[in-house]
Amino acid sequence: MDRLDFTQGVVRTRVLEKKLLTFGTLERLIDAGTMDEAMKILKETDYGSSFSLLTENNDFETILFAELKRSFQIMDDVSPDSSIVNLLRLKYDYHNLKVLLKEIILDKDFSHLYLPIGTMDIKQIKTFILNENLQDVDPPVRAAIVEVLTDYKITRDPQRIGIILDRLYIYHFLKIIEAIKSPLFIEYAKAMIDFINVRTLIRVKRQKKDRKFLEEVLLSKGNIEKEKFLHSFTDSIDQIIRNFRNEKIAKGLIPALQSYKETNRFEDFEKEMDNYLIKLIREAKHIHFGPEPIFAYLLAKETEMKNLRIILVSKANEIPPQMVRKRMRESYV
Amino acid sequence: MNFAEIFVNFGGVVFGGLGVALAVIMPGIGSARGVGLVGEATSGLMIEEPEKFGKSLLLELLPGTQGLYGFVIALLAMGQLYSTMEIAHGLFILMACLPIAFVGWKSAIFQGKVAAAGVSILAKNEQQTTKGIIFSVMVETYALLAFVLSLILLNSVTF
Repeated sequence: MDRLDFTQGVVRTRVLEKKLLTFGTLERLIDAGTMDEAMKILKETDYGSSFSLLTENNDFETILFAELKRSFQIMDDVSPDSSIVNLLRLKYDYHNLKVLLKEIILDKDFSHLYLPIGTMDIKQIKTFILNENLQDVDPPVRAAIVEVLTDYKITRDPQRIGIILDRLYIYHFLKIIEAIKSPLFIEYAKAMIDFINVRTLIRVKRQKKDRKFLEEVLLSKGNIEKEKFLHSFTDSIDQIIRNFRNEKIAKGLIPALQSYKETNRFEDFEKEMDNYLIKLIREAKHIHFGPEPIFAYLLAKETEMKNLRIILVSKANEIPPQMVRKRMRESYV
Repeated sequence: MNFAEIFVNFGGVVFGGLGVALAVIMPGIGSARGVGLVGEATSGLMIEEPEKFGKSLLLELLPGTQGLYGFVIALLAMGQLYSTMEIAHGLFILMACLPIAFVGWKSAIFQGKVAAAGVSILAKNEQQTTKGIIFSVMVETYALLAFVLSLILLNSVTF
């Protein structure tokens, strides 16, 4: 991949970045007294045209999703290499795959859960699975389907579908990133793996599962060795904080673990994780030639959607602004 | 007439001609690459904000000057060519053309990169565009030095 091929795409991304919601706008949205007031503020922004179509206030989910889909389509057009945009579509693909396999295994209809934003044609894959002919499926996805189905035959535990696919998603993501050869992307993926492993560690402890299970669900290829997590298995949360104090991701990990310790909620851990990763990807602001700004823009857009959803949901449920502020993710701009 | 005889009789003009050709070819390639790169960046900007065309034009033109310098040196060197010139004279003209040939080639590409990055400034923060232009002009210094040296060399020795 020639970095100079991205010159045009990067400049277009820079212009689009200006339309991302600023800190000030988000603050005004949080402080807005009612849903109507929030809508008025949103109508002044880039979301104006989409939100003016909104008739019933509570149907913002559809609009947010349509906006996200639109951002992906714009970036498809902007990026000269489709693998960058598809990299971020991958998590939707695996989400859809998860839903699909649960549908097949449990013989239920979950079609409302699909997120039509991925690269795969999920209906086609369903036909392939039902016909037991996976030849035309992308090899990593094929391997994932086979692994889930064989595992279910042995264990008969539908919960494992999610666990297996989450792991295979990360490996697939990492495989694409390794092919792109961007140091920033590799750092991003490794930091993500480390965070997920720590989350897995505390989750397994909380669910009181055994060490063998932890060993199975931990991801390899992160910056922190798998052994270190296994050694921390019997430790208290305070000891875990001390154990990981000197790691590369400590700047984000320690606050994440501390806020988990205070509230016992995984959402708080994930918020700090998101913040660390978006701060990491801010490096893309200084890159003029290469795929990083395109990746960063889509990530910024996803974060913005997350923040808007938090704000709008809390407006609908009349949650006070100070509570909302605690849940907000840091934005890219 | 065999090859050795051609070399002895016309070697001077052949080497002189090579110098002229290189002075046009290399900075020309560099400038085309540089201008092309900035062109890609500015066209990205035009899709979103076409009103910035005027300001982007300056950045677009900067890497183009190297090609022009090479062309001027080539014209001057060409004026000194004649069919019976000595090999030493021809070789000297070739040497005199080399500074602008090589520096023009590479500096145009590097300048193109700086100017393309400058387009990002124009995209995000229009008031600060001049800074991007200044950074880009810095690279021009070295092309200009090479141009001046080629010019002096061409006129410094009389055969």
